[in-house]
This record gives sequence, structure tokens and C-alpha cells, in this order.
Amino acid sequence: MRHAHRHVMSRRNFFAKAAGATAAALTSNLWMPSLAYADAPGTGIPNPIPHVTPGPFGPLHFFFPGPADASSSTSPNAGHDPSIITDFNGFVGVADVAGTAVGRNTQTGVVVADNYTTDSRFMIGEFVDTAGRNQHGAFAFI
Amino acid sequence: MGLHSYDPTGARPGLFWWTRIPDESVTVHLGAGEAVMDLRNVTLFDWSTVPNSLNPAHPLGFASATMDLKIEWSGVKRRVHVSDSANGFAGDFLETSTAIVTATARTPSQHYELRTNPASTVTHFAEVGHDHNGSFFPGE
Repeated sequence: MRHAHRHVMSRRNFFAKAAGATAAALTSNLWMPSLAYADAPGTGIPNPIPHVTPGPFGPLHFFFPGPADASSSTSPNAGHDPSIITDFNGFVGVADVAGTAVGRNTQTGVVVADNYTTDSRFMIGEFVDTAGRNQHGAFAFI
Repeated sequence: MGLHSYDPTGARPGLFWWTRIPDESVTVHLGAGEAVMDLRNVTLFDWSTVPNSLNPAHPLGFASATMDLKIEWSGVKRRVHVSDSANGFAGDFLETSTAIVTATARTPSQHYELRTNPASTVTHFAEVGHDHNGSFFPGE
């Protein structure tokens, strides 16, 4: 969920503006999500879809929101498969939305009018994890 | 109150901006084109901006955050059946007219809280569907 006081930049706008920016290799210095719900044995970690959308710092495994029957020639990176995980059989939901919001300083109580944008999704069903094991689970893309 | 951008992982090779959620947080009535994702107290990070999330150096830093996020899909606009061998997926998808977002995000270290106004939600694109991809792709 993106939020910016006085200025809203959606993910789609950001990528459009960043197109052509110098790419750099991504590193794996970040965090693994909680696996508290993982089925055992196996890793419980799904694999990404093969498709990559160019990003400013490296390729990203997802399609922007759009019709599942979008044309690959005119819309190569939007629509198509809404899931971000592969080897997946289940239900998906995509919400590319915007709206108004209220920001509040919890210390002072000061409130301001704000805006937000989000591309949020769910995937729930069976999948094959990174160890090749069949699993069942639910995931959110936020 | 500054810039705020919330996601669970930042950019990373492979999967990004994802987290595992409880099965019971999702309810789908596909035939009706309805679904609800109701997440409570999701642990994520406030990256300030999308570029800062995507940049592996995270030059703006980041802060621990939590979010309650409820999205309600409804109102079937269009039904699509797809079998796409080029992208290795197939399924039945229902584009919906609305996906109403009710969310509260909190960045405690910055004493910041954001509450969306569900009535203001503008839906640019929304869909629910049954998706088979990768090794579950049934082919033509």
C-alpha cells in the first residue's frame, strides 16, 4: 500500500517513470516471511511465476493488474496471470485501487487528509514449493 | 507526516512483496464474483516510497509496521476464460466492479497511523478467479 502526503505515486506510475533507469542487481539481504503456516515437510515457500517485468533495480516476477486475456503483443507486462506464484492451482484476487485516507500522528493526535494507492492480491490453494513438495496455503501480495 | 509505503519484503530476487497468510483470512464465492481477504495485524515494513522498497540499498531506510487490511470484491463486470500457453496459465476470471479497501497501517516508531476511507475507494481494476499455472497448467 502506497501513501504519500500531497502526492500519490502508484506502482504503475513509478515503473513508467523509472523505465530506462539504470538497473542494478538485486541482492538477497532481506527477510523471509513468517512460515508459521507452512505445511511440513518441504519448505512451504512457493516459486515465482517465470514472467519478469522490468524494474528499475532488476526484473520483477509479476504482471501489473489487467485483464487475464490481455494481448501479449500490446500488453506484455499487464494482465495475463494474476498470480505471483507458479505451480499453483487455486483462487486469486486482484485489487488495483486508490482512495482517500486520514493520516494521524499517534503522539500528538494531529490528523491530515491523505491519499493511497494499492495493488493487493491473494492466492489460496495448492502449490509446489521450492523443495518440489505439494503444499496448500494462502498468500498475500501487498 | 512524511511518505509511507508498506509491503512485507521489499524487493528481492524471485518472490517479492509477499507474505503467507492464514487460510481462513480468504473467502471466495467465485460463481458470484465475490471474495473477501481480511488480514489482521500483518507484519510488514514501511519503506517510505516504492523506489526505496525496490532499491536493494534502501537509501531511505525502513521501519517495522503492521497493517489490518480488508478487501471486498463484488459486482461481476466480465467473465473471461483463458488458456494461455505462452504464459503457462489457464483459468476462469471474473472482473469485478469494486474492490473496497478498509485498511489501517501503523508505523509505531514514527508515531504514524493511516486509515483508509472505504467509501472513497476507486477501483481501477479488480478480479477474482480460479487459476492453474506452471505444473498445473492443463494445456490447450
